[in-house]
Amino acid sequence: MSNSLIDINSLKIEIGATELISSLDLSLNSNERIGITGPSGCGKTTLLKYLLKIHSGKEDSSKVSLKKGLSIAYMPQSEGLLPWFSLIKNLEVYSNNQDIIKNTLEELGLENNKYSFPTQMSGGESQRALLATAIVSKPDLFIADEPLTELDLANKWNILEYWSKEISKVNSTLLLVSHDIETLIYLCDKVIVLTDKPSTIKGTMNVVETHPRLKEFIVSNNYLDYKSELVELINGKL
Amino acid sequence: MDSLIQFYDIFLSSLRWLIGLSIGCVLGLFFAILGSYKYSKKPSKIINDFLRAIPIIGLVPVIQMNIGINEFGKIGLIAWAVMFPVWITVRTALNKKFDDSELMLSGANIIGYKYFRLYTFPKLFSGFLNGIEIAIGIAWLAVVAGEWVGTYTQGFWSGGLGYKLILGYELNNWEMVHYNLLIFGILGFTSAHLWRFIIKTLFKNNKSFNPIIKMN
Repeated sequence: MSNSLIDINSLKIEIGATELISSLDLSLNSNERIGITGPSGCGKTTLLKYLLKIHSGKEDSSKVSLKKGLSIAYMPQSEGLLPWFSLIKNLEVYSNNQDIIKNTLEELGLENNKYSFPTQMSGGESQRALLATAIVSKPDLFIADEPLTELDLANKWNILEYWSKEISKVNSTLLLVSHDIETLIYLCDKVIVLTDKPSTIKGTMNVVETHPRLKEFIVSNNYLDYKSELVELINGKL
Repeated sequence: MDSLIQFYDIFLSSLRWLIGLSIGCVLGLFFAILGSYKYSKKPSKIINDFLRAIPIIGLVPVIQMNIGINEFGKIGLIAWAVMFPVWITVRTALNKKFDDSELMLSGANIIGYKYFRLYTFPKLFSGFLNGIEIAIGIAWLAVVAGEWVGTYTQGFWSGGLGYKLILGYELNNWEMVHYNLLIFGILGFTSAHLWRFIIKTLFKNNKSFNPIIKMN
């Protein structure tokens, strides 16, 4: 039986007359963590939304196969919480377990925001709230689009470490899109760099480190080596 | 002055207003939901745009001719006028899309009744509240047209501010006209503020959901 959650073969995505993705091959296996980066407008977010639409049956493609019955926690860039519910109610949409909700709120420093409505929260708080909804749902697959970009540095690594542990704890899989190479290296096993549109894969970098990764990883020599390699890959010519 | 102070007229007009408003709101909601289905979307939009352009004053003789001067016609006219703003605001609210929220919900396999309860219904309800806010004022305008249909009936339903207003014009009694206009203004002001008070009390913490608080 295949271990693959997502299989993409020669996928092409066009929006109107614009070809965003010319040919993409990607396979995401269970427990794997893949990051995607590339220039703005190369179709990264469109790809994630396309996959989610296939999952919900709103799109159909012979080029993409998704494992049936997957539960996916999608983390959009900033909005996504239901505006008519407080944070705690938003979390209860995705989980009935009050202990998990309470613990997640504490870990993400959101205890004081639990009765706040989405419009009453700052950008950083909203992003942490989106992560909270994703974590409490204990999904098979996290799909995250530029998560945690508005977090202050003091919180960023604590939260990434917590998230990394939670992904390991529930044996989940991650598909992450980001411009933040530090987050990509910290969380992912493999980082795919896309070209400008019409995009295709420019190169791939493997991050061979065990999970869950601790904060100490970011001050290690290995981490700096990965960072240099990825910068070179992003800036390098095809 | 005794003849001007007609509390019973105020009561009757308010009662017609309330019944017409309630029926109109329910009808507006019903047609908006009906129009949200794939195959009824376009016909519903065309019918709505056609019907709401018909002047309510123009319907008065039609009602008199075809239905008579009973309460059914009067309240029907008020409900007719009220139905359209509710229809439009609910339809607009239903058409509003929170793309990321939808993807989050469908990703977590939240579908069917749970999806309706958590996503569609709050959207619809928000539009419904907005529609009522607009409909409150329109219903008072329609009361005059409704009561113009005729108030020469006997018994409980005999009277109304709109009737008195028109009678004032006919008798060239400008004191009576101004008095009735003033009462309409006071009733409109009171009903709108009462409605806002109820909404603010019910949704005092939920500023994002409460369209009225946001408006103010």
